[in-house]
Amino acid sequence: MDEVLTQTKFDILRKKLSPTAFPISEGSMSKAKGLLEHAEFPTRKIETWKYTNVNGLNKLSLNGESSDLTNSKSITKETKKVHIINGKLSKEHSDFSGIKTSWNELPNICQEDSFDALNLLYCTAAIELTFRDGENQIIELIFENTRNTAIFPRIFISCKESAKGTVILNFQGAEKNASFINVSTFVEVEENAHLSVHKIQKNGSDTFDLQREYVNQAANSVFAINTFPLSGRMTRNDLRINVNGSNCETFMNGAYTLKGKSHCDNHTTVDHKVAHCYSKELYKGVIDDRATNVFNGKVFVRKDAQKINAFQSNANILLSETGSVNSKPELEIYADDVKCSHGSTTGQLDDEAIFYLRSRGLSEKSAKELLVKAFLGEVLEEVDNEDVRSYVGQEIEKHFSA
Amino acid sequence: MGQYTENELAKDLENQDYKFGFTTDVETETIPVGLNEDIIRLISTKKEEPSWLLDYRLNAYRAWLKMTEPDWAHVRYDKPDFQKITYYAAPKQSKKYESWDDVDPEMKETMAKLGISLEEQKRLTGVAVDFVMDSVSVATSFKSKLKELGIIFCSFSEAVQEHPELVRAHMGTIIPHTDNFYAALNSAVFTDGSFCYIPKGVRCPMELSTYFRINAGGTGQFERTLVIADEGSYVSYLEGCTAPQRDENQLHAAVVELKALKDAEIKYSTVQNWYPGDKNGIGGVFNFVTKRGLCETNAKISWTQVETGSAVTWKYPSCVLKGDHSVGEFYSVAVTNNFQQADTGTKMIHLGKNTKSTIISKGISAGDSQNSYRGLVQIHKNAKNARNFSQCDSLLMTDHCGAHTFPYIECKNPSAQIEHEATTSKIGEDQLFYCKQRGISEEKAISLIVNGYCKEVLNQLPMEFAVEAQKLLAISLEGSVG
Repeated sequence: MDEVLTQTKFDILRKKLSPTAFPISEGSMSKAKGLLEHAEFPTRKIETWKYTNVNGLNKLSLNGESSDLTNSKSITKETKKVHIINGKLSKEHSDFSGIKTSWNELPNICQEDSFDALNLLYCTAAIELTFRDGENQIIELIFENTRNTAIFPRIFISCKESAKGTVILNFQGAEKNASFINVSTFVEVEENAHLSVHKIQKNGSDTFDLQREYVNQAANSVFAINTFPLSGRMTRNDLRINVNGSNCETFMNGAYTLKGKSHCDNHTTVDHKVAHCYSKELYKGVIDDRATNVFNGKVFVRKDAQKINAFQSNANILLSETGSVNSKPELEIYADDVKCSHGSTTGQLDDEAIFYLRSRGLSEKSAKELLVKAFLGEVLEEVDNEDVRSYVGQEIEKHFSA
Repeated sequence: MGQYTENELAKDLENQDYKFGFTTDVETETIPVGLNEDIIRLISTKKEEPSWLLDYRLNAYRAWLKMTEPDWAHVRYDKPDFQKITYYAAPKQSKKYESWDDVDPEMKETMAKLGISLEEQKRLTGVAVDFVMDSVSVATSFKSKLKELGIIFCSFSEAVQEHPELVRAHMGTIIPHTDNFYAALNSAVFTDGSFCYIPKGVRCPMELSTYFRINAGGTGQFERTLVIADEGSYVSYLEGCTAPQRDENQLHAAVVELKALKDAEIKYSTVQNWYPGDKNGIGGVFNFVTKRGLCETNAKISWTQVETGSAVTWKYPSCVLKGDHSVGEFYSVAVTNNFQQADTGTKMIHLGKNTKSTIISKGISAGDSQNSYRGLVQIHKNAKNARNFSQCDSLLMTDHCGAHTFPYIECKNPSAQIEHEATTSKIGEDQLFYCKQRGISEEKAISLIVNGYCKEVLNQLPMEFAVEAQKLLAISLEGSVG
């Protein structure tokens, strides 16, 4: 009886999950367990979860019910592809050459985050991608989610010295899918390396998707991440970038199109620890129906990290009476010779622009579509991968013609 | 030599001592140290308050007991021990002064040191001053002139005695006693403050001004201000603070409530220069203030603040834009030096249609200080065509201070337009170069740039106050300003 009374929301959630088959060291296992035992389940009282309610997680039945994936799966043409079907690596469809999938022990990287601890303990797939100098590989990870289940991949990406690489994380869920996706991605960008990550989150209408990326950048490296939360009941992305070396460049872009009851929350942190770096962030989105968007961007400039240029921008268009937008761009600066700025706007489509287009014979609907596409187009221009750009462009078009 | 570098400026700033540090030997009457229901009853009895006010205090105290001190602000300090504070201190005098000649000469001297002698004020500016020394108002001038217009401007305790219906109807309606930890504490133990009522359609002919001052050692000051502008009226209200030098931390937890009824306008200006602590960060005033204004239809509330003092500042003058077409404004200059910490900003709550708000915040950090802007812009569902513009700039003077921006933007209406922008930088070398190549010395150039940087806000201050604001800025950043 007492046990029932004292169990936390994490305990209830854990009962639905099956422990990972991957080997974990004693140390990280007990650390993760300890973290979960003492962690408070996110509530609105916790600053980082102020606008995001994940109580719905416990209502997911994760009963394995399945439906067919009707939309496209892979979005790229000639690239190395790895399929992860319902959380498990699929050997049939994948090209595993040069990719690590078997483990004697999962790397002991434990973050102070309860959902990362959860990911470790209930990991369903672990994969390590390594990019070496001279290869210039593009790897697409395709997550096909057709069953209502727990999808807990743990992804390690290592971009070696002077290497160039591109990773596409492509999440595709069946239309009515109700899964719990919980992803931890660890990225190491070594000196002079250049890594681009494109993340597409096209989840089922009842899917909860919580993702964290932990990125470390060494000197003279370039890291770019483009995030596209396109659908899903709840999407939460925590992007944490530590810029540990000088002369780095960091780019973070995001475009989101929300409708129905979906909730999207993008938290980003760039921690400038050393001097002479550049970071630029641009997140733009369109919110319709009863959807809610949250943006929280944080730029840290540590003491002695002089000559930092950091820019952050968030722009939202709210289309409905019932939608809402919460934006919190933050700057925390401890060095003086820096140029940092941020901006945030929330508004609607320009009536005059709509009138202009209509006076030239466009219907109101297509005029609005055109303006929205142009608005999000600014983000797409930042995407250097042709396949990703055209796929997201099409999805945005579909979103508004539906 | 005419060569004045930023490093020298930084050094000068560090060595700048607090200029208003002195105490006045006025006998004060205090009550036992500590806080409990009996103390609250004692305060209430001493002030001969009606029973409803005592009940209000006790309710607030009981609510306060259940609250915990918030710690989300970007400041660090040793939490005050609420049982070590004396909650009541009144200068010992039983009769009210009839004229200024009766006032204790020492107190007059205090005011002379502050540069705000009433004589001068009366003669030169025509400002009515309600001088609050240690919680009890000792002088109110220009009362008769205001009376002709039906304006009530008096100490809070006087208002409780003479206009209980007004006080009872409005007190706590904007900031309820359960609002937050420090507002609850204030509601329980407030000793005095100011009360102001402007009747329908009256335009107050002069700037109403109150000078607060913490004096007796170890007494927290819990002021309460209530300003009511009735339909179609206008008032400009000034509040300024200077505090004597002390080693122990003093707590200042004031509550300011503004109510602008239909078509009314309130302009509330503050110059704050409580003791900021010495250059090692020892001592200084904790300034935890709750300020909020309510705008009815077509009303306007404008907050202007120049914050140069206090070891820890924690305040967010806010506007609740309840009525349609109402306007809220917030202009702020916050200067921190040495080990000062400031977490300040505003909240603009848009409830009515066509409501507008403007936020201009300028932070200047020097020494080892931390200066944060924290603001909330909230557009509610029915706030059609709401409009907000925010600009928060930070200027860093040394490489060991910090400047932070935490804006919260929440929008629930598709017709709203919200803009927020913030920049952080130091004085540009190109700006300095431009000035210098036109024959302006580096020192003058820095002064010029800092002045220009704050100008948008300083321009909002009433003439009489701008002088004082400049004085205080000069003290905080002397060497760079003129």
